[in-house]
Amino acid sequence: VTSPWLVGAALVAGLVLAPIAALVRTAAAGSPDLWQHLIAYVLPAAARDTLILLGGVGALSAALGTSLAWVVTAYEFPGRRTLAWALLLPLAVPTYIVAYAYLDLLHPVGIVQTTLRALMGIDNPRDFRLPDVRSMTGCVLLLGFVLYPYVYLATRGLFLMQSASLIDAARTLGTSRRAVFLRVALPLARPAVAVGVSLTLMETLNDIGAAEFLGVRTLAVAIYTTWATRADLPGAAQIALLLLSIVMLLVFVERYARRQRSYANDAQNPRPLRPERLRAVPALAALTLCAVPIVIGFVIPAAYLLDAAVRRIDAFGLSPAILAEARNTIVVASLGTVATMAAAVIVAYAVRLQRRRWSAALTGIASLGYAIPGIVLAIGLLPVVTSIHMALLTSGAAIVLAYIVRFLAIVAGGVEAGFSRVPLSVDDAARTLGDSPARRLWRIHLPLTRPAITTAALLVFVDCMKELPATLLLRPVGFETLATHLYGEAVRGTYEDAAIAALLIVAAGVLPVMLLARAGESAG
Amino acid sequence: MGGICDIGIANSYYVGVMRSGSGGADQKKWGDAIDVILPTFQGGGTHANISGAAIARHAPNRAAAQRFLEYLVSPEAQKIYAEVNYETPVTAGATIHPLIHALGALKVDATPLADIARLRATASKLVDKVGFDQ
Repeated sequence: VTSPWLVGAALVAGLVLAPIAALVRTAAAGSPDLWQHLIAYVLPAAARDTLILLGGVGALSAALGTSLAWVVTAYEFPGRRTLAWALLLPLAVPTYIVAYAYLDLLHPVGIVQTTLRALMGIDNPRDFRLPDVRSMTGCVLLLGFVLYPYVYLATRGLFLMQSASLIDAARTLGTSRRAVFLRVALPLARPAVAVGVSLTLMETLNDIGAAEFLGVRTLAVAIYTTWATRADLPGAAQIALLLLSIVMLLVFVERYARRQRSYANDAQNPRPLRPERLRAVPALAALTLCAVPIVIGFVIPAAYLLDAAVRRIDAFGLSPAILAEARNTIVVASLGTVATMAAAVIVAYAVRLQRRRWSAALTGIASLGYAIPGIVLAIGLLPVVTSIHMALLTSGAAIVLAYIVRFLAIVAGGVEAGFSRVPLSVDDAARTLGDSPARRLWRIHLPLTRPAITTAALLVFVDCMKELPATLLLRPVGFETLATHLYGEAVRGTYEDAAIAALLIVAAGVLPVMLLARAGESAG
Repeated sequence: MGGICDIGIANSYYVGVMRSGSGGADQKKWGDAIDVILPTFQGGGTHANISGAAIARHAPNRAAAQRFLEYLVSPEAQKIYAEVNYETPVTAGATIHPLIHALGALKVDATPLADIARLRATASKLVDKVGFDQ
């Protein structure tokens, strides 16, 4: 007997797989001479830039994330508790917004360089210039400073869980405190670092705004321009497949790293590491080290946006356009959240009802979407929705479908974990009392998993609000969200006009950070 | 802008916006400081973008759409374009904004727009080839 739940779950899995299948089909339809053109002039530079960017951002975020996690876990100094959660704040700033903020701040006629010139008594911008932020170095630095929290979060979790006995043993053997980090703690944390770095790299591959504004021609940017300025879907699909293969490699490496996680875990005696109290100068150094990434990745861009937004409102008031965009954003993000939650619940519940090993594969497929960069997803989804009905595109439903595919993984894990805490005997008891599966879900599982579902819904909502590439490509003509409006203004070079939109996105982004911080507090 | 570049390529209406002072004192200063050249192509004119309008094949209100298009080329609408956007009117004899008029007489390149549209894909390949965006 095929239950309707299983059919629903299969449909969700199909929704995730369809864009990938369509991508392969569309790519195959391209003319061979186009492929030659791409190989000769587009792909080498785009692949090189993408790999350099990945290497740079990966290295910077790994270095920042692990060292910061170690400092706030292994040492005690004034402000440590506050800094430990404030270090997550840069997560609230999407990559395209940090690029946008620093482009304006560091522009030759922006506030920083103008002030420097005034201090030095130089009048002409030609006589004194800072290195251009529109460069690979600029892009690596900016992305690294907003994406390191993924590594920080994963590694700190591991440092907190790690038993102190191994570290104490190393100390009794005469290892210095610093050497303990390099020779004991860091090797043990390697799986967590790998997980964090792979999340960072997936965000880097997903970005189009920052790379484009900063003049770095990544594969994602090449996909967007091939479609948007050349209307060449097969060409875009071909580059998208290349990008997708890099992503799959990353996913593979991440899974592999996670499999090794179980070594050296002293479960019998989970005595946590006791932080060592630092004296004045080292304490100040630790404080500064932790404050710098927060200032660069959050305080400066947020302060800039606040200032620019206030000036804008003072001069022109809140334009009706921005209110309409805020409304559009809330509407699509809400629809996206509800649809994603529903899809996740259907998949998790179908797997639970089925109680077979193979049905768990559905969860695996449903979670694939998070790894697909937004632009790749959009290019794949475009032929799918237009072949079903044009109205899916003109009504904006395609955006909601894209959100489901991309953000399902964020919810699926939480819902599944929540359901698994309800013993199967409860289901059976309700069943003997004559409750249908739907009634059991409504009366038992959903109420019991409400906290997990609420948290997941907030995360998805904010991710939908921030989402740029898929929204940009799949929205109906003339439909603007806060993110697409910002993108449009930044492409035209009229940065200050979009400050209000950017500020609203960052403000919304702070919410899940506070939630994560609270979860971290209760963990230790 | 701000005395950084030797040469820049821009749409002429941005010069109008900057010199009008509506974008602030800095922009007016920069706008006044530049020399504007309307470049001459091989065919003997300057490339001009158009703000085009058309009626979709399945448009439900054809008659109203046509009347709207007729309004857009009326002296009244052309005057609004010139005054608000600093664009060059398409109808002969319509008033050009003084700031744009001061840039000199515009001689539009004679290549038909349909030809330009047809060569778009080739042109974008050329952009890749010479690395124009890099």
